[in-house]
Amino acid sequence: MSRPIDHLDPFEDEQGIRGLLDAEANAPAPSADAEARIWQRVSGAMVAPPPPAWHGPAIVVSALAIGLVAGWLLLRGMLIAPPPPSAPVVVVVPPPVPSIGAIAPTVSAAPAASMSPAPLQFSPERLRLAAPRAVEPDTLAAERALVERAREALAHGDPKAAESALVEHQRRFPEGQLREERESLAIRALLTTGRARDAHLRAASFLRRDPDSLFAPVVRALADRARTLSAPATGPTEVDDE
Amino acid sequence: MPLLAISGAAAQAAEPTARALYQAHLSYVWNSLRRLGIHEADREDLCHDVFVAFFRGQTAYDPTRPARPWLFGIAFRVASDHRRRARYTREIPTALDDAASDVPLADEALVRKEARALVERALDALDLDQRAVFILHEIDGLQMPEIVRVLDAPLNTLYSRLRLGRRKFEAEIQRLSARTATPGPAVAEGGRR
Repeated sequence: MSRPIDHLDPFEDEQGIRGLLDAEANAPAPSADAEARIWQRVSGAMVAPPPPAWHGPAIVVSALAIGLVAGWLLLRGMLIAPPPPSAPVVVVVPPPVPSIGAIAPTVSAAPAASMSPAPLQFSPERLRLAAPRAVEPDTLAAERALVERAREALAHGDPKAAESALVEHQRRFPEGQLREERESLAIRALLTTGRARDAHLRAASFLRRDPDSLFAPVVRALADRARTLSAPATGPTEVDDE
Repeated sequence: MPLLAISGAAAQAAEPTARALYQAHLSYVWNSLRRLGIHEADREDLCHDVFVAFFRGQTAYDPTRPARPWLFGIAFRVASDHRRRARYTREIPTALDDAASDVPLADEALVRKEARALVERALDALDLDQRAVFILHEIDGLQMPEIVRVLDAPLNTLYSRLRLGRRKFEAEIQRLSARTATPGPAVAEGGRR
């Protein structure tokens, strides 16, 4: 029977092994460039939906629903002539949330001409049913630049500049890879400019949509702050992120 | 008075998530992967995998406990998968390959780099399971009951792996020190020959 590990002999320090291991414990960090590159990829991956996983009956029900819709569309395409170009476009519009400054509603505000006409816009991506989009480095870099600009502006006490960057991000990348980060900054900007009730509502909307987001803890803290600040006007409401 | 000072401070205080966690632990994850035998060319990819797995599974992580053992557990699984795949595609380069390709360093930095390379070479003599428990106990300083939680293996098994790992590591250091111009004692003291 082997002895307990506590009775293992220490390393023969004639070899300097203990010193080698202590030196190894203080090994240097990767370069700043590597740190930035990895973070960019990690943050990009975190704002994309997670890979599909087995969720039991919910998946089955969803698959059936998708199948029915897809089948109906297929049948419709086969049996019915394509709708004219002026046919209404089916888009999924997220529930309205308080906007900062001039931030306009995302999908619904786009000019009708910019939306593709028939056939029906059944897009798995719009419905967020598809696998996560691959991170596109060029797009991500542009998004990152806007988000960083907003963050810097907030840090330097310039919420208007932050709002400007966030509005631009929302206009160019309404469902971008850094959408959640943008929202957390937008909520903070609303708080900073004294719009606590709007901040609270926007936080509630965020937490309903993305309760497990990486940014959810931050948004919850901001929501608590917003609730405190807006309490006299709104009463003791709770943010429901379930 | 603008609310920026209040809300900004409150928000920043609540933001030790994500980036702060990443910055605090990147070096640990990076070096753990290196100690687990992951070559520099693959280390960024695997660091990414570790942090994404960590953040996506964050609800299962108890923030009142140290993050590093948790991260090591993820790194170990990621490294294990990677090595299994790499075995069939190409040879995994050794640490000394990295050292040989770098630009000249100052004496002390060179000695430290050679010391790390020596440790990596000696770690190569251990299989991955032995390597993991050796790293956690001998380098990270974790106690065995903590390592049981990290590696999810029986205590006696881990004792056995550690014992074998120590024996192999020591023998390999002796062998390498005899072969190279940088034996253990001078390196360990950070001195120059």
